[in-house]
Amino acid sequence: MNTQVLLENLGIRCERLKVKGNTVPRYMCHVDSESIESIIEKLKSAGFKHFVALTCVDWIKDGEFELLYHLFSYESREDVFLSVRIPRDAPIMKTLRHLFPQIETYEREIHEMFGVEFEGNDRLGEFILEDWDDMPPMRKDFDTEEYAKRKYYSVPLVDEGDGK
Amino acid sequence: MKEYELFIGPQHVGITGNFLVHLWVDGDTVVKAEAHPGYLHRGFEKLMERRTWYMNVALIPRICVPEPDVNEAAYAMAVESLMDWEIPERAKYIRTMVLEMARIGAHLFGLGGHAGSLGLYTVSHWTIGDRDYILDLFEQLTGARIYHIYIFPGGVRWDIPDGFLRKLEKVLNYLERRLEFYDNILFKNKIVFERTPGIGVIPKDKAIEWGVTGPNLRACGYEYDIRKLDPYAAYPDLDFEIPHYPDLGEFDVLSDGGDAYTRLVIRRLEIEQSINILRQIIKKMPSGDYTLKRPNPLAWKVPEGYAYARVESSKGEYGYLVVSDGGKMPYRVHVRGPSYTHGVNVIETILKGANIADVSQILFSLDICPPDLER
Amino acid sequence: MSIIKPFKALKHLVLKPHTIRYPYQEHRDIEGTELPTERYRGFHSNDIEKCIGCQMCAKVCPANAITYVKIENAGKKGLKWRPVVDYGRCCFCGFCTDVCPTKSLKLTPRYELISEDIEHYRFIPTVKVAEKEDKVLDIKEVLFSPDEYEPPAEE
Repeated sequence: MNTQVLLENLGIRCERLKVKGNTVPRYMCHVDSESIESIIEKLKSAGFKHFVALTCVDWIKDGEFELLYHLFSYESREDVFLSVRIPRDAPIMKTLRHLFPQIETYEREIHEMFGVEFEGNDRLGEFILEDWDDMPPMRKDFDTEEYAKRKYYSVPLVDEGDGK
Repeated sequence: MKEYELFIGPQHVGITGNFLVHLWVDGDTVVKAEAHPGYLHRGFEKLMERRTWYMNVALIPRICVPEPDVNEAAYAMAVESLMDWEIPERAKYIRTMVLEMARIGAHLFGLGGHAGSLGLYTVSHWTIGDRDYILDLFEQLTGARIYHIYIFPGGVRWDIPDGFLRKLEKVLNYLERRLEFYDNILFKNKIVFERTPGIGVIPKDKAIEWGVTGPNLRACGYEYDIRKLDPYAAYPDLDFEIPHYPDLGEFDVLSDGGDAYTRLVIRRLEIEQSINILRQIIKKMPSGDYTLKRPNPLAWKVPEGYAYARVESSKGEYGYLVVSDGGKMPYRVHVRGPSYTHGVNVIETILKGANIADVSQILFSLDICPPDLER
Repeated sequence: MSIIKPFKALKHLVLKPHTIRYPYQEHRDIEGTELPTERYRGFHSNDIEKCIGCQMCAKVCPANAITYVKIENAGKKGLKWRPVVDYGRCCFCGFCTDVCPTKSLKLTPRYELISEDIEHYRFIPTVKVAEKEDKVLDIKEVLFSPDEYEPPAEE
């Protein structure tokens, strides 16, 4: 309950997500990209010391990327998702790796998979994919089938030898 | 001063799976380390967007080889949250049983790997052999040895076969006897207490900020476990302890915590706890339905929304964030693998200043699982 | 530390080994039950008479391993489509058997098939697979050609 009050004091409207199986409440909050840094700092000092994950969702119909910053508090046992929407045609975000070091890794992956630019992170570059020459693959408009055909169907089949 | 560059992996006995650690060494000391995953990237998150909610159950266990059930459980729980399903009591117990069996299997694998990296290959032969008894049980319960595809949204796939719990009890008794052998060969071995304490230390004050979870966090001195913090399945009804530093039971405390030795002991103690949990499950197993009635797999739609489910795996917090747009397929699934944090960022930090000979030991003691790192 | 302690390890010389010499020795679990049991997910078996050709299994297959072939004299019920399973793609998840409305498609505990021809790993499963006593399949025993097939005589 504390967290709900805390979030309201910060001027963030939040909704509770449905939880079955697990028991801890999860809050989904919508914030803008300007205030995210100060909000995470405040949450961190309020006990949300465990940064669970940073996720990106491609909402292609709205023309937006949604970045989900997921924090967990070991003391009050609550989850907070901070949702930031950034425009899809100019996906630029400030890096937050100074707050939690592992954000750097998540940012590297999201840069590679969605093409989101994180200003201030100097390690964006090749991470998981190697010699990638197309648009970031996790975007919704990336056509996996067309890519596979173009990339691999041109490779000549291995000569099977004189097996028969 | 000139530095040598050294590559450990992707084909190397001292690496946990297909994974590369690029080292810069000065003499015997590592000056800089960089983790390069990518050899196991199979694009699960993208594949799941192109498959129905039902088909994904066959896909997700493939993310983690030593412990596939956590994927199924977390995905099932996330889908149940969206569908607003309360699963039957018996299904909860069966899930807990499967997860704990998988945990023992994964920890035996982990212990064997760590011992192998120290040159004690006998232990790894024994643990792999003993893990086989658990795989035999899985084969009878789920129909497959490794990728079980058993935990479905709404419950589990089949009921327990006749005599299964009796066999489980026998395997547990056997494993408990075997633990003594491991203690003799591993924890009373001079190699272990000369080489492991003080190696690969994760400082206690940084551990949470670095995102370390699971046994690695507990080795740092925190008593944090998802099974207690965010209880799921039948864990609220069961009575168990969370082994953590400095509470190492019969084992000596040889260091200030957060090091390879403590992590090894924590894993060993968790096997004991899992055996204890499984014994309680055998006693308490309720009767009733093992699953809800599942909808037609070809026309199964999940309501719009976000759901996050987390499970304590043998490596740490395993979470699934599932986003649905109300369609037949997930809109987005994000897998929070436990190795994501300690597999890249943490090892790049703690390998600095380590000895080359200890690098593979540090990697094994953290139990990095590359498949859940890059999915 | 005693001097005798290390010699205790000698008792391991007389212990039974973990490993089994597989084709000569049977794989058994802790109680001696022979593995794999009936629940094991191996090759398919399909009752050609019972199958109604609804194609549900092909639709639910996550690996797209099931295709269809038309069998003219396949019994009188339902459609004449019968599944062909490509074992290069099949992941043995068993979803096809879960959705099968007549339960004619089943997974059997048979998992060994040896052949030099890659085409042999794509066949029409029949009940011959399930009826076999011995575990190793010979491709000649399971190969089913629809042209030569004659349904059992009606009573």
